[in-house]
Amino acid sequence: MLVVLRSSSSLATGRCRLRLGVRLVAGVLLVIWAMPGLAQERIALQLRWDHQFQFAGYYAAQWQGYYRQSGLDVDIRSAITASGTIRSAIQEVSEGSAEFGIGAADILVARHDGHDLTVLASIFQTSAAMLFARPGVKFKNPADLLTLRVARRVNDLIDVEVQAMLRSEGIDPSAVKPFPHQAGIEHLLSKQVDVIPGYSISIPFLADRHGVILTGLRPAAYGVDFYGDSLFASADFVNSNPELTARFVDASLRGWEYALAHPEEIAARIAKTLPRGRPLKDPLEFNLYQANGVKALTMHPLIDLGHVNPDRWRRMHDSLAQAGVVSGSLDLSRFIFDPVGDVMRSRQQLRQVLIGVVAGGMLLLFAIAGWVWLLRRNVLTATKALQHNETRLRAIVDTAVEGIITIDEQGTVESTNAAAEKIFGYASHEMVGQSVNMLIPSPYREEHDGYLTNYLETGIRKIIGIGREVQGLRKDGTIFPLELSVAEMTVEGKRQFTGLVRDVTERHALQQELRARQETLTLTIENAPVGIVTTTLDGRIISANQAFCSIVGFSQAELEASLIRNITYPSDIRDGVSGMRDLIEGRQTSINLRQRYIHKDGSTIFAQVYLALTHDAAGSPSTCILQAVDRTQEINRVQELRQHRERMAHVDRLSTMGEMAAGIAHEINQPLAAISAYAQACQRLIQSGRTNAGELQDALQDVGAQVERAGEVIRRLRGMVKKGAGQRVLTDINELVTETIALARLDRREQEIQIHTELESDLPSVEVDAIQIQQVLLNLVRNAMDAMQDLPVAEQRVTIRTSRRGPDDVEVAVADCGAGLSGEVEKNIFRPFFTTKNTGMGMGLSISQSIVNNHGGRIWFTGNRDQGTTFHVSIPSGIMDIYAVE
Amino acid sequence: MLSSNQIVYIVDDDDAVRKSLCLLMKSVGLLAQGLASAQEFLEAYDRAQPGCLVLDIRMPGMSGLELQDRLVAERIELPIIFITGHGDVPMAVQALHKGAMEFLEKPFRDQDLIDRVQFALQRDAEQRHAASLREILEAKLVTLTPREREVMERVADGQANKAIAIDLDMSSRTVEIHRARAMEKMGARSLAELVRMVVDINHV
Repeated sequence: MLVVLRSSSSLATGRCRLRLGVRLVAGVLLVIWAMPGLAQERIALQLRWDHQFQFAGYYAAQWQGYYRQSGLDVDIRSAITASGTIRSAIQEVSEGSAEFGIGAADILVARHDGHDLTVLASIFQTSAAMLFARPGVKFKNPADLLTLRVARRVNDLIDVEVQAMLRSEGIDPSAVKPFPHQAGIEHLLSKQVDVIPGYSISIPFLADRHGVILTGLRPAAYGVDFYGDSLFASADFVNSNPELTARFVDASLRGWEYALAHPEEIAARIAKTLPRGRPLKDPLEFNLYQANGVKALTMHPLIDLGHVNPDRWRRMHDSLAQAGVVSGSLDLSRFIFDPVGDVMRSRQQLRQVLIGVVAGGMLLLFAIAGWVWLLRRNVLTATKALQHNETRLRAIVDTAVEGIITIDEQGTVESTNAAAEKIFGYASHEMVGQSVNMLIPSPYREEHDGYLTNYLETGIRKIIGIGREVQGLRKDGTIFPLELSVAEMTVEGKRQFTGLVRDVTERHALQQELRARQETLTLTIENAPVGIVTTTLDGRIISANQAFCSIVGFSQAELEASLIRNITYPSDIRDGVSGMRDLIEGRQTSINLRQRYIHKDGSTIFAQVYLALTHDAAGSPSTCILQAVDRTQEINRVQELRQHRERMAHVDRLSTMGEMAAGIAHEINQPLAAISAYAQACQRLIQSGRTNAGELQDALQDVGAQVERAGEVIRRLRGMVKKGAGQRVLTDINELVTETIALARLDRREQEIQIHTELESDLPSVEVDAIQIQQVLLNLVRNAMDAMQDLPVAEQRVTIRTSRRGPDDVEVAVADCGAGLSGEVEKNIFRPFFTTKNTGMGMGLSISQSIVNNHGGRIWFTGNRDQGTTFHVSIPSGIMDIYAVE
Repeated sequence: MLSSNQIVYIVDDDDAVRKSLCLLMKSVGLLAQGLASAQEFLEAYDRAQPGCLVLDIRMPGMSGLELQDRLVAERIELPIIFITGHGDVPMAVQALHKGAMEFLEKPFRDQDLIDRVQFALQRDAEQRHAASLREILEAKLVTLTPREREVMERVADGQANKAIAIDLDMSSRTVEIHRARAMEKMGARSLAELVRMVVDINHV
């Protein structure tokens, strides 16, 4: 604390002394040389913008005659030239076209560029720089900038403050993409960007003219304490004309004092009398508006007008250095106008003058006595001012957001401020006199003593002047993160350390929240049920989430090395490409299309795909976001339904076959009968000799035609029974059984036969033509039903069992409880056209047998122990084959 | 017994079957006429025409069974051989019950059909012959007096003249005279022939 107090108070004292000295010198000169004939010195003050209230103090000094009274004829120049170009104050002053200029952080930049400039007085104690967001844009803290379109002129005066703010919040400034910035606020209102930089004393006014209220963020609120408008001159000029400089500064500050006390008057006069290079519609309102802002920026009367804290300039320099705008170190002695030295020099000269005067004659004794009296009185006044300043600065220290704690070499707390009390929860008297360790939790507490001892012994700094994040211990025992910077000083030969402590719990919480939000987003994407892929504009996959991986069967690693087209169904690539083109060329903002992908296992995936683009800082498309909803199941279900319908049609055909069998047989028998008759007739005719070649030829021709006819019938018959090319797929036999039962029930709706199932789970899949096997099963179920026709319906019962048979086979058994098979039936049961039914064709079991045999399986029957017959079908499981293929 | 004027009627809607069967009949020296439907047959057929009918059970319009019913109703005793396709067995059984001679399931051996046709023609001829015999006998029978007829029947029954005389209360001589007249009227050259005539009359 003492360091701050001392440095600030020395400065304040310096400022007081400066004025004191200036008045003193002026007074003495008045006495010695009298005033008449004192020539007015012409000097120029170069403003940094157009005439407006921002520079009110200088106009006031002019209008109130302060400059004139100080022997100065000041030309106050707008930065806007007659031709509309902008004059740089830095340049004007550096080149000597103007003696004084108004600048801010740019003074440091100019210094770095080789212009030897000196800061004379800082009028705006805090920077007017701000960031403004459009209404509706969520802009509450610096972290929001990461997701917003922020207009930036990288490294300009406002931007370096923004960068410092981001750094203080632990955000890398390069993470905030710069969007182009333009003058005015049109680009903000037209939504080209979300956030723009600007000054608090003009942007809100412009927005108000548009009927808009902007939300703003001040870097100053995040510990970035840049000075705003400051008076400067070239170092050479100041060194050669310290007295003139002092006069000018003093008069200017008085002008400021007047302007801030009479803002309406000055604003009105500025609006009325000062011609603007850039005219305003309502200059009076604008200047009145600025008056409020300007007053706030000067922090008058809390802080003396023009107060300069060298440490703050150094911090500004550090911030600029971090941004890479300046480098090296700042020589404060030359950069800051040091009025103390000047005053001392003045006093020395004065003393010599006085000695000369005393030696020269006693006549001036009275004057000397008067001067001594004056001196005494002024010293008293200065002391009082010092005390006043002490009190005031104490108030500032106590109202500081940062906790300030000083300790001695032993680590004993010497003083604390109000913020420190608030941060740690102790009253000041509870801390003072105690070891600072009470504020440090273990294990840092133990280390702290070590640091202190170590530093005192070796002089190696661990934290002093560096600053870092540590943990603090509150009175209530809670441990919290705090940012600590330590300064060292020697007061009356005693070493002291001042700790500047900032509670960063909230910042941590914010960062935590940001991290949590990011994590939530990542997790959301990663675990979304929808496949999400980001690709480059030419379709190279940047990332893919879990859902997409499982949709297409590839791992993230496999996908991320690939092009999206590599997994796209070839004939669908064109749609995707044209969709992308529409997006890139801005015809669409999002695309919804159907795409098929090829699963790693070769199957086709049907997906509903949504495409959208992300844009880079310049607004040009950068990446593509692809979302894919897997609709394969849905589409397969539709296809299955269609297949089921076909299957039903097939079943219809099969069930009408019984009726048609007779007709079909008739149709075949007709030509056969004819052929047979012709053959016999021809034979007999030839034998009898009672014929001729013509007759026989006719007959034989008819025979040929009848053979043809019979063949045609057979073909038609086969076409009716056969259903598509048998496709064998891996099938769950239990599913097949379940479907068969449904079909059987459909087939005999009127019958309430009990169909009982005993299905073994975990059976291996069988690779079969499902339709054919279903036909076999349906046939067996029907036979079973038919076998029980003589029983009362309540006793009719079919049992279907599935089981594993041997290591590789799956067996389905269909049992009825009918009368069983007679010996003759048993012998012939698989023979074609053997039937015990009135309406059967006798083909069912025969066909079934050939189907099952074709599948490499077997069909047989056994008599049940109690009653009825069981038919068994065994089918080899497809497992071995499948793995062999793989 | 077969006569050259017998005709084998082949009724089948199937052209090929009809034509082939006609040729088959021709090949064994039979006259055949093919008809495509039951109606066509009914229009063409004269009941005096001897022959037989090869009839398809299943036909559009009037079926074979219906035609059979029609012929029975009209007392046309043309022998019928049904030919059937597969699955028509129950219908064929029904037809047999109604007096059809035969049924053959397609495809059949030609010889089977020929045999059955021959048999049917013979049957038809016999039937027609029997029918004509009876007509002659009945014409002769009409010329007998009631007494002569009584005597003749008792003679055919094997009764002795004496027994007849007692039964009819006449003299043996009178019995002999009636017997001689009846034999003369009936044209029987022997007692045995007369006896057979009486049997025929009673049974045909």
